[in-house]
Amino acid sequence: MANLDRLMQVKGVWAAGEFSPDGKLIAYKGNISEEHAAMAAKMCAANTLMAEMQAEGYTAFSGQEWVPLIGWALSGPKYSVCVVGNVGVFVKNDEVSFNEVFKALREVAGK
Amino acid sequence: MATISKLKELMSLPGAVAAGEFADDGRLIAYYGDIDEKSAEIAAMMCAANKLMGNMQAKGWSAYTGEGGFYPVLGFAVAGGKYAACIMGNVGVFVKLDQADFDKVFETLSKYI
Repeated sequence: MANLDRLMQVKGVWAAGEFSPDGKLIAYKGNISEEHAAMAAKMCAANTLMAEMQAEGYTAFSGQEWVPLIGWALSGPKYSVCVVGNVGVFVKNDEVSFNEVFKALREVAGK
Repeated sequence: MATISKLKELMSLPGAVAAGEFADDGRLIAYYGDIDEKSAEIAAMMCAANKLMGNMQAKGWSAYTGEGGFYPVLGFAVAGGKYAACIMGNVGVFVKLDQADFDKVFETLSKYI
């Protein structure tokens, strides 16, 4: 089980979760309902799979080394979702250091 | 439109290897750096497609949860192997992972939204 408490301690993080490659919610912390966390887990797994496909394809196309996939992030006006491996966090953009978040996610995800 | 000088500014970021601008329909508008034109063109298509899918998910998520904050998508990033792609608005930069300062990258890219 991923150390979600470690992620929740990072400034600006308001939810953290772990999902399986097929989109099942394994665990979560933070101010979010279980139903919403389960939906987030499905989206994260789907996006990770697509990013893996794109990274492998682009590596073959360009000759640059974009594999293995490490993670991805998506930002809106207030919040961002950041995912590494099978763990992810929701963060407040105006409080977070993305360097710090990505470092913590890589530690927790072991990537 | 990002001018070549702006793309050069992105290229001055630590670890930057390429920078470019794409249209919403995936056309490559301009690029700079150590990348061939075909690779830049497919990168532009992937960026536009990912931006559109991100917006679809963010809008759906807002409707599903009743809470905003993720829509409209301002940018996204993908990291794998030795590199990361960071995109805001319709401008993006490829950086070497071991040299990247993501806070600085996003701060610089945010000028182009």
